Amino acid sequence: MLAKFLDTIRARITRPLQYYQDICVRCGACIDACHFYVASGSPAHIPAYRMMLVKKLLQQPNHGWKGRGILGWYRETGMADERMVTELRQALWECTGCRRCSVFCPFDLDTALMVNVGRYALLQEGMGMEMAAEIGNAEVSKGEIIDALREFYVDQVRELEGRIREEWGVSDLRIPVDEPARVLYVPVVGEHAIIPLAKIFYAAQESWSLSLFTATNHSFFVGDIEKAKQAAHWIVEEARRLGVQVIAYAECGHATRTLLNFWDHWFGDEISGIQRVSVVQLVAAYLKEGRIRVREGAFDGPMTYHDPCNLGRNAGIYEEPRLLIRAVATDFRELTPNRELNWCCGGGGGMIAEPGMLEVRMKAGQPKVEQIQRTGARWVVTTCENCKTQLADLSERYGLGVEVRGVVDLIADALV
Amino acid sequence: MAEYAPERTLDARGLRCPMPVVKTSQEIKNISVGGVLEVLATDPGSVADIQAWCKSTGNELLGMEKGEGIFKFWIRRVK
Repeated sequence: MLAKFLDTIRARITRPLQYYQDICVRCGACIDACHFYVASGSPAHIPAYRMMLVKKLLQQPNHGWKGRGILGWYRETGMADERMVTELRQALWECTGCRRCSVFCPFDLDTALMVNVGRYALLQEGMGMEMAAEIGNAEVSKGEIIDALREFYVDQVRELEGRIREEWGVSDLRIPVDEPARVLYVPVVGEHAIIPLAKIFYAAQESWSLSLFTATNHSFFVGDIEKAKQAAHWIVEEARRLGVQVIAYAECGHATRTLLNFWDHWFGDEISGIQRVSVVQLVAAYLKEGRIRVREGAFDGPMTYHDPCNLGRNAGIYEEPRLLIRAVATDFRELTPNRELNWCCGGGGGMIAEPGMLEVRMKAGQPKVEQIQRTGARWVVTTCENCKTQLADLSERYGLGVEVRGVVDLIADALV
Repeated sequence: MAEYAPERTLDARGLRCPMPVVKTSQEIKNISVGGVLEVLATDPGSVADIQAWCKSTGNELLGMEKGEGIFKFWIRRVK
């Protein structure tokens, strides 16, 4: 049992991962840091236990119980029985990779990294997020057929452009696609990710081009780093072809994390000289530099901000969203705790893509629900697509009655 | 107008990422092998993503049609 899992994980385990497993003393500092554990009380959700499960299996001798002997008992080897497989699936898939546990760990152990590698190994056994993997495959395929998609895509964007021109009563607003520019903006799927930026770039008189691709990278969620690199590389090629100076990713948490934290390692010199930012950072710079102006107090009522784990804790983007919100809101209220200690919403790690995970993520979102309720907010604003879906689902499930918005949507609506 | 006699129609308009592909993947399972799924979409990204999904899963994109602010396309379930 779990032979492919073990072969894969043995092939992929790195020195840091080995250290994490060896260093963890199970002090328990991470226990109450995990929103899954807080909501479920299930031991499989304790970060240290997640790590220990994989360690036990890795120490299993290749020839099963026979070779376990007394050293096996001493080294806490674990044989893969049905119960252990169930726990392993829970430990590796019911995790959003938010890395809140790492903040509380006295050794900064990165359990989420172990989970990520473990997920890929479980997929080899056919035990896992097949939907996320399927979307990841489509993101890789997209680059192979992009020439066939281009004309139709551009036609569609022209229609969108026409609608914005009509709404704003301007004739010179453009949505450039596949054109040389200073900024390459990479959206997520949905008009909501294009329209606000088309307005903001127009107001800021930016030289920009809309990417033919989308920022999302589902292979990253399932630990398939080779495919994650392939999907991201289409954007690298596009950026180089268009000669852009800046790549700005839409409000998408995991994709922004890959852009800011992984691309140097993945692509090295290929991306040297190209600045990479979240679109939230770009828009905050426009406001600070006076390139755009907004209507102060455009949103009159209590508003709070949810730090997406991948933009906040995992990429250090805390102040730019707050700068933008404070520019348009009359009553901004922080969640408690916030920034690096903020609770994950429970929707990350690819769970939104998995219909079967709905109940798990609704439960894991309970700490977030309580946080929001304490603020009395009317609007919950965030900068990650998955967080937006999860927060809207939580609002509906728990009757929060909040409206979920993106930071750049607010700015686009408040432009003067 | 193209005629493909779809067994089912999926309304993927206005869905957030990555739901257009997720819903298409779920809906195609409700179609018999060889049957046709009709998908309605509005935004540019979802149409391209569903086309890419067809390529990666081996399902056949039969055709597309552009109407008044709406895009229709037809997918044949291959396996």
